[in-house]
Amino acid sequence: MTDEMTTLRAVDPTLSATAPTELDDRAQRDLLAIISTPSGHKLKRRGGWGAAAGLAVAMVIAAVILGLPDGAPAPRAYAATPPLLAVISTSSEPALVLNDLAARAQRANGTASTVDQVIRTQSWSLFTRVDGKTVNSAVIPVESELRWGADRSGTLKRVTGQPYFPNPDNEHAWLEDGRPARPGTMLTSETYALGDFKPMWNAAPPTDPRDLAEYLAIGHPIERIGTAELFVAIGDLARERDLSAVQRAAVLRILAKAPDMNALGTVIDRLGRPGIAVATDSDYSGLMTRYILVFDPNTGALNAEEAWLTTSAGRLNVPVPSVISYTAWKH
Amino acid sequence: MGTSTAARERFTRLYEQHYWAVVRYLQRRLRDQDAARDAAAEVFTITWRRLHDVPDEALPWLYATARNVLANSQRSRNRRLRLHRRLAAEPPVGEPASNGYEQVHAALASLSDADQEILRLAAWEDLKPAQIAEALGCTANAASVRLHRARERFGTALRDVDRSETMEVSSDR
Repeated sequence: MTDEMTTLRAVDPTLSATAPTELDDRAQRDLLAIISTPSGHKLKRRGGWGAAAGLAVAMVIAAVILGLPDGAPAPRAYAATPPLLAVISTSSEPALVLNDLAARAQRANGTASTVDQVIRTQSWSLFTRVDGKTVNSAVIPVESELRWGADRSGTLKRVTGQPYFPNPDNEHAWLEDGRPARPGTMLTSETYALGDFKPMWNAAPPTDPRDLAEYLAIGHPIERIGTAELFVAIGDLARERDLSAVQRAAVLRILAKAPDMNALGTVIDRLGRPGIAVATDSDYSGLMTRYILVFDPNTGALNAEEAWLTTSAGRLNVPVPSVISYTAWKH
Repeated sequence: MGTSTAARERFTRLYEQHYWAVVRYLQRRLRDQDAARDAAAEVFTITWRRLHDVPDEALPWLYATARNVLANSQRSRNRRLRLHRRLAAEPPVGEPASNGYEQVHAALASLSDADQEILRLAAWEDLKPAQIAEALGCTANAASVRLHRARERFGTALRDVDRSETMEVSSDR
């Protein structure tokens, strides 16, 4: 006979829920918001649990990036950041651009994988830590490959890629520092046994835009935070699943209806591909940030997401505007 | 008070290590992932403020803080009650209901809050008696005794639920 504890374990409400091993965007934002306040000081609450999550990211980041004790002077050299993408701007309405792209996406070939998901990305964030330290002298992209199957087994590998130096001084500093996070450094090598991989979304993405909008809201408070959170959700989904043509079209139709959207125009992304870029500006993380999604002009696939600081860097040692993170998907 | 780099690094490690465990703890009690993540931000905010009090083995301390966050928020309590009423019998999203899912949750819900909490800490958070003691603020011996008694009462509740279910089925015939 099964004992009562085994019975209880079997009905754990989170057995199938999200349990990634790494911090996702939301968790990272919250972390930055929390450590933006001095330890030992009481936070001024802003109406509830959302308070901590909604606090200014700005201050923090400085602390994390610089690794300086409070009161230390800011260094003169900026942290290395990737160049801004050049944009050939458009005057079209974002809804028009996105609906047009959705129609093209729907006509394009592409079925979602029903067997294994294989997601390859190149990403970088101002806040990435390697061996517990942040590298400021170089932009060190991370090359990731996530594989997972319907049986929830899989692998995740993350390796540092080729560094980018905004100027020769950065390269000099990086070399002097002993080439931290040199190319090929293994950051993560994980194997998920049967049932161990816990995706953020258990079911396959719906194809109906209304259903998909509800689905994207799982774990993402889009209604409360706004379109920027929708951008985050779309990025998170693409980090887990390759979408079919119809699902891609549905994503684009949801975006077409979202408020506070801008159609930026055409860009060449970090992997050299042309794409259609849309953006939304939000200060919900504490600093006014431009969130950008770049879609393949033919298939509507999400090729890249970026976050740029546009008006202030707070105490961050980066100029304005600056790229603070990007992910490029390798389809 | 200044914030040292060491404190930030310690907190960041702690956060990276335990974030999802705390979210799951809260999600099990709130049945709402958004609310759980908001509450987790609150838990870690308190942790950051009280970093000096956090022991090396931080998880039971974090669970204790999470329990206080749940208990101290009237709003969350109301929300939790509403959610419990609505969701008590719902299986996790995307998973088929396991056999007896509803009955087991009904049996659990029939126990006192204290019994429910100690059983959840043991079964879902997988804590040992010494860790449960830390989370509940009692001695390890007391935790063992309380757990033993809670298990007995839970066993009885399971049998009662099972019996009443059988009776309902027979009376329907």
